Amino acid sequence: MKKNSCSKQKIIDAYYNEAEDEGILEHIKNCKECAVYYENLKAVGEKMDLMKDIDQPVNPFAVNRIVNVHLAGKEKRRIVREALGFFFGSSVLIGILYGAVMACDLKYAGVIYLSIFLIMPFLLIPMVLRRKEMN
Amino acid sequence: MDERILIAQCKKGNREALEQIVRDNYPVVKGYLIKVTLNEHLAEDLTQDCFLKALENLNKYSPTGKFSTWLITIANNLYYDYLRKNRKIVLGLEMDENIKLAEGDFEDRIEIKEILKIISSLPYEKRAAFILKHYYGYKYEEISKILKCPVGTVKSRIFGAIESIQSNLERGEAGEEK
Repeated sequence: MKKNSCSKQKIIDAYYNEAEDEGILEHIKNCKECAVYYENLKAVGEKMDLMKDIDQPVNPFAVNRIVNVHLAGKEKRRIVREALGFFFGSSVLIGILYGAVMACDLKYAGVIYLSIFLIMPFLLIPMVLRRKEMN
Repeated sequence: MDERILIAQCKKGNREALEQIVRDNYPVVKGYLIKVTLNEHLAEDLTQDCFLKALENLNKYSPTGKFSTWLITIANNLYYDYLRKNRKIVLGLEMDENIKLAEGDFEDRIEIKEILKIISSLPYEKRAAFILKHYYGYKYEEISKILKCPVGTVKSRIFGAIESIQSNLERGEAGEEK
């Protein structure tokens, strides 16, 4: 095997256990030049392995901060979602009832408007229950 | 606890599960970033950004691969964005001499510093590919997904990195002999 970049690539593949050609290890054993390159590669690998020792202990403050920021963001998004849901739901309901009032005899308009204001707070009940469940 | 169960708990917003998953993967992500950036403060900032982004997009994670692989992909994208946004600053960025090294022989510590210098001389693309292969044992296919480039490019980057490291080490040894 010629010691060009192509054969070197195959030796590197073999060193990292990714050789497609299964005969490459046998070849390295029999070819002096390739054996030297393989041994050099092993020596470089061993030397580079020293960097595995860069100590990276878990920073408990960072873990806490990450979780706090994430949970705060999640809570904020949930509040915005619920507020939008409430405004959308109440707008639809008011629209329907307003339409109904317009279509009906205006004599009872005051009663219907009063009913709307009494019904409105009940829209909040599912949200309050969900929040209690989450807590 | 099994990683899948842990992730399911995290999606529900369970605080303990969130802390657990961050604690389990923190050394891998920071270790990778410190090797790629060679700057402890930058690695710390990017690690935190990486976890925040990952937790925010947890629903997009498909448990076909390892969670740490997904995190490293995010970390890599963040560092790439950082390089793009801070091109001028990065050009002047030098290796952080204060990187915490594990307790060990004095000679080992000197050698580690030399290795860090050699690694810092590699361009980012080659450095990232080599680190993922050598220190994390990812397959070429996985590296190509993380770095978003073809397998052939990954192979040539790793090959180029090894060639540069070898010549740097040989130069260093020749210098010592003199």
